[in-house]
Amino acid sequence: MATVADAVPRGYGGAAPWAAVMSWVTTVDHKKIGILYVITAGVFGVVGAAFSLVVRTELANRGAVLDADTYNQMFTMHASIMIFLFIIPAFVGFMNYVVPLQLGARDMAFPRVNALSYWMFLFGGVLILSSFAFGGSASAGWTIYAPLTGNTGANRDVVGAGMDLWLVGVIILGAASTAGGINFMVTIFKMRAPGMTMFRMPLLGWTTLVTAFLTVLATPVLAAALIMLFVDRNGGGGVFFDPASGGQALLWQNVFWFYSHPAVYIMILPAMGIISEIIPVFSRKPLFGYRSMVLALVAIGLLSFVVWSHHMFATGGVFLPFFMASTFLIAVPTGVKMFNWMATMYRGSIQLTTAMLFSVGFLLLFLIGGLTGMFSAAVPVDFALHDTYFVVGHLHYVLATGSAFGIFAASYYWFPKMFGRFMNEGLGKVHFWLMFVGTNMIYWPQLMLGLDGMPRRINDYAGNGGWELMNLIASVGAFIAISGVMIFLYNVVHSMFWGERAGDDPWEANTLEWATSSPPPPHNFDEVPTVRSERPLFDQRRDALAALAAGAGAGASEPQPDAQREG
Amino acid sequence: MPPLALPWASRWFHLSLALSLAATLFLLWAGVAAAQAFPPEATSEQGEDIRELYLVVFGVAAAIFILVEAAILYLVIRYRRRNDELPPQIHGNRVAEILWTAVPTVIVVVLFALSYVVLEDVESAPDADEPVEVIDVLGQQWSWAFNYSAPLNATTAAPLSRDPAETTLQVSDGGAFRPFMTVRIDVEHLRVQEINGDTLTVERRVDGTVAQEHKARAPIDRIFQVSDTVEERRLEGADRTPVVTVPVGRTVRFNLASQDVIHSFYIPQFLYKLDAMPGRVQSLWVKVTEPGFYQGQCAEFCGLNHARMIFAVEALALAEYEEWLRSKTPELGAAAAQPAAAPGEEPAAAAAAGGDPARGQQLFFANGCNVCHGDIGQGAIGPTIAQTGLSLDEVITQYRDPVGTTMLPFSEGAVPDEDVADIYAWLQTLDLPEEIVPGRGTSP
Repeated sequence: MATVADAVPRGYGGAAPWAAVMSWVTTVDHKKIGILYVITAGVFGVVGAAFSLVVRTELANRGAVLDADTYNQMFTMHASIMIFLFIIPAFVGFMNYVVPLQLGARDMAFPRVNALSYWMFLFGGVLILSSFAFGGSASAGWTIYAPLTGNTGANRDVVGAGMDLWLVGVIILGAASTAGGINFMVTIFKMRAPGMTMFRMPLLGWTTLVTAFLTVLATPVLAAALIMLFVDRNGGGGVFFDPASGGQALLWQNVFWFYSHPAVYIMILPAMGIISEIIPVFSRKPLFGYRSMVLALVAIGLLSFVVWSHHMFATGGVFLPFFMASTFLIAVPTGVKMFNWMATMYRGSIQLTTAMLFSVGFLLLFLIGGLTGMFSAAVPVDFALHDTYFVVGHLHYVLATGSAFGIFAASYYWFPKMFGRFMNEGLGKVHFWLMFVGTNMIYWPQLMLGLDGMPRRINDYAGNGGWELMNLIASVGAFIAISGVMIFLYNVVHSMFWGERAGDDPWEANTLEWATSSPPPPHNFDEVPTVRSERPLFDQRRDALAALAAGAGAGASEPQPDAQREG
Repeated sequence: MPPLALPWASRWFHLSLALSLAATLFLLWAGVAAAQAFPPEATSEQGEDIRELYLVVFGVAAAIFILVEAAILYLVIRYRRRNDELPPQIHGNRVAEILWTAVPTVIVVVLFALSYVVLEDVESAPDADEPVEVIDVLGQQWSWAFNYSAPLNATTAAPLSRDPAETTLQVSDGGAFRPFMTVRIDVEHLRVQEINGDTLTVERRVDGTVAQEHKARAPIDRIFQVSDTVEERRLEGADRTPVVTVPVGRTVRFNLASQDVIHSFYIPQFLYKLDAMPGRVQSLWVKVTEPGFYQGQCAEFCGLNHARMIFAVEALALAEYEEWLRSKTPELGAAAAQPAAAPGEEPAAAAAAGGDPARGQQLFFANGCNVCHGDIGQGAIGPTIAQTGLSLDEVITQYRDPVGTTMLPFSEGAVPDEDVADIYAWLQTLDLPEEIVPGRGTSP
């Protein structure tokens, strides 16, 4: 197989620089698009992280650094970027790169639509960020609650072009996501390798599928909400969301969260898929309870559509018992996944590579995100904690130490496949420990601040409440975590060109992406191994060993002509 | 094995280093965490219930946290890779999987049941015969206004529809009313415009409340704003904090309304909050148990100066509260009627400015000036503006581009110069009673 890979042009470079650039701009190859997605999301993520440092600097100094308007823009854009332009597209990038390979497919089902999705994502993101050149960005929080954002009625804090650019940008991002979701569905349903039944599909494939369903079902609702708000702001006079004009303020929250709660799972399920790939490989064991993992995943996906109002417990306009029950219930499948991951490590042979460290970090800290969620699920407790820093701490334990840890784990794990070289493990471990310590220093004090009653989204607070120390710890933590990210960025760039060479299957992994060269040829596979379980490469290695033991030589690994299948 | 096995080259050394680092951090963390792992002591009955529920959830969460975190760390250390052997390939275990589906299910069902009981308790209104103190809270970017009430010896005589265009109100006794008095029927505020015997012309939907359907013989209360502030200096540049005074030991019904966007009425020591939504009036029931001074602030992001939308609660013993409330209740016919300048009787100053005081009075309320400056311009969060020493031009300059204040500018498009002139004219007619001195406040 190695000789075949060498014969294939590497594909990520070209003779002339111009040709190299054009090969990326015009590509419809899912691998190149995946890398474009991840790198673009990474660049946006750095901007979002920089904004978080501005926010933390302001809070460490009790509002003495920025004016309120700039602060409001910073925290709004921090969240908007991290959610819409970093976490979601970074996962889309990894799924784009990995899932067709894991399925043994040649590409996504609709390669051109795939390219269109990427370019719409880039355009939407640039549009949102361009608001800084047009008098300032949106500044009403990423949840852009109406009628504050409505530009109508008695609202005295009218946000200008930045808000409209945000709305249009997110509509474009939503369209890109929806197209991408359909693309993933068709790819997964129609392009699996021979022998790969649905229940032999790697877990990342399943999380991608459930995520795709959530995206396709929920994003159009968000698009509708955004269009309604755009109309309200631009000539519509507030008929949707402004009570002064016959609209309903709470309607916005209902339609917004009907998308945005499933979106929380759009942001966490791929991370769960990623660590479901990594933990078995570095424990040298099969994933424990594969079927219950899939069932839990589907249960989470279904339940995620009936919990949206738990963001609105304090509005006075929610049927509380129902949403409290559904919110508590969604903890059950999440718990099942947690225990299955732990059982996968049980009696395993655990190698703590950086990818595995981030996966263990995910388990340790996502647990805190889940448990703090229980406090908010108990409605009366949420009356105390809603809209305080407790919620900020909770959501960051889910999204930063959950989703973002998943992104980092995926980076270290699939980097050798993408570029044929390892990332530096030593730097990776430094990165992990800085992130682990830094993030806990940020989010744990935030939980405590919330318990003590500090509301979110304020740039200034009283100096007499003991809040200064907690905020200072959080701000120092932010700088520690970001220094870890800096090391990561250096590691990425350095390893891309000078990293230690990795073979086709450096981790002794189980899934099909490791059955081809690193990086894979444009057509992915010269031959697709036949799939007989959810771990085709494990089967292959075991058969080869058995064949060796039987003295039959390397017969089992002989190329099988015509095994390759294309969708 | 190299001949010199330096301790810092061994895996064990690295592992124990990492572990001791983690342990140190964890202890540090636990030390700080223990200091503030709980919400503040509750000072209301509802808050005490919520705090108890918090403790239950905390107990469950802490147990799961310690068990699971310890288990993960144990697994990672115990089963680290020692040799190249393939571990046993365990694909699953039905009993274990059923167990860890069932146990969390039981836990969340129990937590749901407990939360449901507390929720019913916290949200329930008091019995009909229990005395309740009603305080109407108006949220507005970026401050709070607190309205108290006193019963009028009058009821509605005919039903009033929910159509805000219906502005004719039949009452049992027109003599109880005065022009420009704000009254409340159920939770709707109405402002009296004209009185013709027992027929009143009213403005509906006042103070961010919504027009409702009212039955005949509904009791009518008159509303008066109490603009107490306290010099708290909680935030840089915001010296005074508005104060709402409440009784201890009697249920308070806060009727929350908003004039513009969504706000949230949050008092950490009551462990409770509820949004003030534009377009609806919602009630929060609180029975305060401890006299004292409690900070509160808006918890729902509401724009530019959200962080400055602070307030405080002063809880007084019942007798003290009742005395306080008596001292704040304006005499019927004095403070309430006083601002109404009789038509055609324009004072010289107003005439000179060329404004129409009667129209100015309506505009004063319509533009919400009263929220910050008090119902008769006596000053509250904002300074006293009745009988200001400034000229009309100076007032307009300050109004368009306020200097040295958090007040937002009002543009020519929002409030034209002639409207400002009318308001100015009305403000100049006001004769403040002696006891109303600017910027007065209670002390904590």
